[in-house]
Amino acid sequence: MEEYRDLFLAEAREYLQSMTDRLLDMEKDPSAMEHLTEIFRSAHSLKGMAGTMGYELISGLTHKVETLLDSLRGGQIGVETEMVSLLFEAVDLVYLLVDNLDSQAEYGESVAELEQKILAWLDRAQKSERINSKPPLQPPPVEQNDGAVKDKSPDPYQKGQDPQLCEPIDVDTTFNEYEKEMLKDAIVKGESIILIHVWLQEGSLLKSVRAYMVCKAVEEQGDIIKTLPPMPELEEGQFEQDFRLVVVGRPEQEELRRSIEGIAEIEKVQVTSLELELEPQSELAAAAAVVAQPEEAPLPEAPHDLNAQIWEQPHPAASMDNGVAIPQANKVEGTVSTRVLEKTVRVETAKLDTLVNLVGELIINRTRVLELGKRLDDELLEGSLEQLERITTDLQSAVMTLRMVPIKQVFDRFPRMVRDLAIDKNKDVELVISGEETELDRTIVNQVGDPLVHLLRNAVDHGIEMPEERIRKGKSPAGCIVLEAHHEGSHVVVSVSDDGKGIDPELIRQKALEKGIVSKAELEMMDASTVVNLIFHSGFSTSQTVTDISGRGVGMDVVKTAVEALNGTVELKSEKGSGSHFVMRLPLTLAIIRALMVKAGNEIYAIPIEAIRENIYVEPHEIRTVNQDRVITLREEVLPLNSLNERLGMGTFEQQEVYPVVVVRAGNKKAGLIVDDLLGQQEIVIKSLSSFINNIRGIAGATVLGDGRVTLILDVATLLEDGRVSIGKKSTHH
Amino acid sequence: MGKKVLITDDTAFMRMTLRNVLEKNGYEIAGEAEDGQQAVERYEQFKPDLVTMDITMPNMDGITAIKLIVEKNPDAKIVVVSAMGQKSLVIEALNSGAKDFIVKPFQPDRIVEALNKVTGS
Repeated sequence: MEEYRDLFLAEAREYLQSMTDRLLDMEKDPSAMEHLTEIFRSAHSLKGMAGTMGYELISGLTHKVETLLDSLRGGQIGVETEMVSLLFEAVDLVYLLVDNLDSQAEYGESVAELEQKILAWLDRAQKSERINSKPPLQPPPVEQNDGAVKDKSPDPYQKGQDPQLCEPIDVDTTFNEYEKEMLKDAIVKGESIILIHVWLQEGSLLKSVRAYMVCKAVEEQGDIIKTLPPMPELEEGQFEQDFRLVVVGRPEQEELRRSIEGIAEIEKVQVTSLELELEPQSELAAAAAVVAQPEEAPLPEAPHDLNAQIWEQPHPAASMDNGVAIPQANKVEGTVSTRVLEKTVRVETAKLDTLVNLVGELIINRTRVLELGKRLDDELLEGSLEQLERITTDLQSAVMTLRMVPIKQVFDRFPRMVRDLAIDKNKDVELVISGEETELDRTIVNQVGDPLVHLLRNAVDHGIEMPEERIRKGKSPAGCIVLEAHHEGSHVVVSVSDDGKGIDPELIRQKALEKGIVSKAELEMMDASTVVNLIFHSGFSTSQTVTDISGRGVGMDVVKTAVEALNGTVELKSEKGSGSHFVMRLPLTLAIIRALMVKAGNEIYAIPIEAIRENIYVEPHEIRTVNQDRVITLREEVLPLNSLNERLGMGTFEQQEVYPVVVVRAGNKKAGLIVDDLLGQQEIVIKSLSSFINNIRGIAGATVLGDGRVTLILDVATLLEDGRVSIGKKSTHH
Repeated sequence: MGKKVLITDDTAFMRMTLRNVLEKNGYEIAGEAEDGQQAVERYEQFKPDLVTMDITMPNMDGITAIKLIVEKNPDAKIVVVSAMGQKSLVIEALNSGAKDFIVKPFQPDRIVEALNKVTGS
């Protein structure tokens, strides 16, 4: 079974997610039955899967959930917040169990507790039902029908010890008057009386249905006049492994045995003639007398019911005319063929990573071969190299799309989180999600969750006001948070917006001064948008009171750091009184990027193309010095210049006739990097630096060039942070 | 040659489990269906010797599928593979023409035995 584990995990999580989504939907619109049906179906499938894997805690718990859902479906209980929370609790616990398959036993107690809670709820619901003097249409769902929980209901039929089953049948004590009449009737007609003893295989489930199948098979050949245990108990599956039937009629004993043995999970069948020890001969004579007036021997109740139930089934439809059936079959085949292929294949992520790595290596070597090819100046070679380049480029983009997953994977957990937070804070919050189908690299999706959690928590905790306050301000009492994602060029933009109180720039100014993040002079230079973005500075927290949710001393700088680690940027647009709008820009992928190769000193560096606004050449006379900083005026904008060599501590600024300058941008900061030479663009495969050097500011990673040289990739965001930059002035061009 | 089986279940996990068990025991998998609708279509397409049928499925449930299949193919051999606690549904399925049933979670030898009995092999 271990081999199915991954598939089980993946599918189980899908079902749990679907349950979470639908539970939220159901809470919003309790009248829509389709949600309940879906939740039920998910729980049901999960139960079946878990059972097959032998995860009894999961199957047991989902079974209880199903029972609870069933009573909802039957309308015995209404949808209440408390109950939805109970169901959520169950979903959470199953999540835990699924996530910790190897240590499930540790959760046994929690599972038992929760099951008790569910049972208590059901109990209460039934009682209140009774108080309303409306007896439920159906008996409340109980466990006794179910093999898995059979040991809970007291079973009077101890295996192998039941006198009724194992001792020879004594006509006097076993049969009631009606049944005796039936027996006599049979004897008079010359029919045989047969005792069938059926043993089910150990661990058979749905024993009642098994028994039903046996009865059905037997009824085709004779009449069952008695069952041991009695029919109601047989129908409820209240027997151990075996049961007996008394049949009258003219069946072939061998035939009877064969048809019963043809049913699954039958361990053993014993068919014997019942030697009735009818005492005085006179009884038989009496029986014969009775036969003369058959009306006086009414059919006993139980077998009659059984008959009705068994003959209810429709007989198989008469076979169809072939001439009609064949064309139909062909028609169906035509429409089916397009659907035969499965749409998706599950692949281990490790395999994908290997593939991406290999393609990366291929790209590096392609670059190398292309370089060599240029040197040879051979027309034929050039042609095939071009072809090679095209194909590898296509291959690369195809492979990259394999790694793309919808951001839904991350978004999915937020509705639930926001709901819980809002309840916890006594706020009324609606979360609107859009663009969840937007795809981006798996590695990014995996890491974008934490910053989003932070932003959403902040929005619920600090952004959205209490309902009373909102009403006072003329807003609707329910706050709204919009989580949105969309593609923008080679980026994905994820935004979190709320219609809460927004961020007061004045408050930020005070705090920033208080904490010494900026000087007064600097502050005066900043516009409002720059000021609010100061909250991303480390150690900045505006929360007046430390709260459970977002006041753990972790500020927005955590968000910023996380996003920058992904080569992304985060920005805040806020207006006091009308909410905040956080915008994260993330690259589509981290593995292979396009970069501009530049030379500075004796080294070649790669600058990610995303960070570059433009390349310009600057002549010495254009450079001015302001506060000892070199700046130029570029389209009426002051642009600080940094010598890359100097910034990286690799050399000093040297006078030249003309300076190649790369204008880079990160967030709303811009600066020019003076380099020695621009070498052109190329694809580079990002290799992360090993852990002991991976936190160097200004360096994002390394790559291997076509000629085998190792080159550092610049991290523009941190480079700008430490250097001279112009901030607050949005570039006038895009 | 092994008997051809059409596996019907809405969970890929169950289909894979069944496929493995059956293949190990000499059955040939004619195809898989994810819901009742597909099962009906693929029955016509593949004409399997045997169908395993889940009951609770989206689009079309197993009982409806059984009825449709049996209506056209009175001799169709369908074995219900259902989860626990679906007693009435299983009985309905049997009355609709299913030949036998097994209960999830099943033991591999049980399902094989059930299918062998139904196909008479």
